[in-house]
Amino acid sequence: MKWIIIRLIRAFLTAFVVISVTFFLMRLMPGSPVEMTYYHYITVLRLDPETAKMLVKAAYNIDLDLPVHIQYLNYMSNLFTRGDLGKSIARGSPVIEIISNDLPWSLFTLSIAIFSSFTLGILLGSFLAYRGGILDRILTQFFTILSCIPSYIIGIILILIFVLQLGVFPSGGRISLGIKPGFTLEFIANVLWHATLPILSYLLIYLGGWVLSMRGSAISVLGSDYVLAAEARGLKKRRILQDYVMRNAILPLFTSLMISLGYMFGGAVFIENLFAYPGIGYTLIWALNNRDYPLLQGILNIMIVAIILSNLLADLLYGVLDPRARSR
Amino acid sequence: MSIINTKNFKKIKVPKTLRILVKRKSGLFGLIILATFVLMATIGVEVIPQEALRRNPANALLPPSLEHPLGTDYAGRDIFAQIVHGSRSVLIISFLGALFTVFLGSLIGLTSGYMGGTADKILMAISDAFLTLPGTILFIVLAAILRRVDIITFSLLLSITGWAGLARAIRSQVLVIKEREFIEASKVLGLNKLHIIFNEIMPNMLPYIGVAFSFSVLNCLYMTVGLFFLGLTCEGVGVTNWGMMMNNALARGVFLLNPMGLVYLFTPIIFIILLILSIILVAGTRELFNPSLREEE
Repeated sequence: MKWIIIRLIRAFLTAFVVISVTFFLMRLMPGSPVEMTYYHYITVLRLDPETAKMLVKAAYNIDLDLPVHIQYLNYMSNLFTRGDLGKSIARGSPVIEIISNDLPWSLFTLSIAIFSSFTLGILLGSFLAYRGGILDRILTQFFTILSCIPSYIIGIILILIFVLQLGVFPSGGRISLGIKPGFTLEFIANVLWHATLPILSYLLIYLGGWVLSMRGSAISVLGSDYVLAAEARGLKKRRILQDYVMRNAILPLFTSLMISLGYMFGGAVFIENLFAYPGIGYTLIWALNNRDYPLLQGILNIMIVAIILSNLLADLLYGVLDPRARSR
Repeated sequence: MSIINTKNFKKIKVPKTLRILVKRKSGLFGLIILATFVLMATIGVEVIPQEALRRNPANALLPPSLEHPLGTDYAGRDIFAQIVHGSRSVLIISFLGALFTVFLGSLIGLTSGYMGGTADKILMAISDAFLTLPGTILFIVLAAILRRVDIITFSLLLSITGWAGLARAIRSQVLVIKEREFIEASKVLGLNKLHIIFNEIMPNMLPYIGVAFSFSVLNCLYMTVGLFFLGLTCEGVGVTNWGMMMNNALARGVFLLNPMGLVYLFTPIIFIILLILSIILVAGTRELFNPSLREEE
């Protein structure tokens, strides 16, 4: 039980530190967003300093008259007690509302992509490791190159093929106009139709990495004594591959699976913008372009918390899967 | 495994690393492509005049010819000239970004692993915090907010999170090597700590550092081009960039009407893939970074 509590405390501390860092980054950077908004109100919108300060306060939860450390305490207490991330400048609605509207779409596409690329990756990886030979060499080269090609290039190629040449998938959006959200077949089919290309892009982007790491892991398992013993006992190849090689080789990959969420958000920024799929990555760049810094800061904080949570989950899960890890 | 002699390591000079690459066909192939890119970024930029980058609507969407080897874009700018002028910043930034990443990562990993104790705990706590940051996103946000940074600062931004993983990997390697006899021997000989860290332990890390460097180059390339691809800019880094070309090509949608639009879109893609391929091929020559794999001559 103790190791779970230690992990929980550590995760909370990390979240606290990293959110603090983003606060000071936004607040103290040369030409800080908060000041830029303030001067924007005064010079461009010609507001008097008092009104400008009030608007800044409403947007960022920050009172410019107070010293920075008090502002920091206010921001953090608002965040941790009420989950208040401030108000979007450009849209006027609370940041938390915008995020809770967009995040599920990103998580929906990303989680399908993560689990399908992981499953496909471990199957292909262990197959290549077990089979070896020329097929292994060719496909390993192929996946090495595939895993190094930038996500946006894969996305562009998919758009050219499936949207412009074949015209089978839409070029953007998450649902068609006029389709009512609900638990209907029409709605679900439409959502999947729009999500297919983003998911396919993620799948191609991350597949290579999973195949290669599973192949590496499986090769090291193949050299172990118990696999040799299983072969000597005359077990079927399929049985050895499934029960002896894959089960052991997957273990180190589970941690990477959870940790990969952080990299996935990075890929989502490019893919969602390319496919105009309004998820969290799309809104992040929208906020950047519209200088909507409260929204930007809110999205960054939510992403960081999501990554920390998935790391925590990886830690706990690994402890369950492998009891040796608990004592570390 | 034999203990790697540091004396041996010092003898390896540039010609030898080149010879290793030339001996392996794939390494040679990668080296040739990479050298072409370097020539492009150094001499090419000087040879091809800046005027080719100027907007000239009269020349819009010309097919490839002697004057314009790859044709022109929708604004009449020479496509090949844009590739050449864009290559300089892409190469310098990717290289510098990787250099900073590897430098920070090795320094922190070596210190943390060798010192141990409180210093180790603090440094590892810091790297753990950095590992939870979404690197690509943080880079994009910072670069877009700090618009006017120069190339050095820009490259530092690229290394903002990448060092943490390397630092952890190097630290765990140092912990293993620290226990080996030759380090014990150096301690008994009374060599100072800096000498042991940099002359005895560090050479053993070179295979890791080399591989990490080449992956870091790829990652920096991905992030820099990606920043411009999103339509965001960074003034200090220059306006002509491969990512910007892709962004323009997609945003204008010229490829829907004119085949030259497709050429404009695909030229940067092909050059990026060529650059990635050359780096993979050079880095794939394992003997390059790992002296113990080299055949005795």
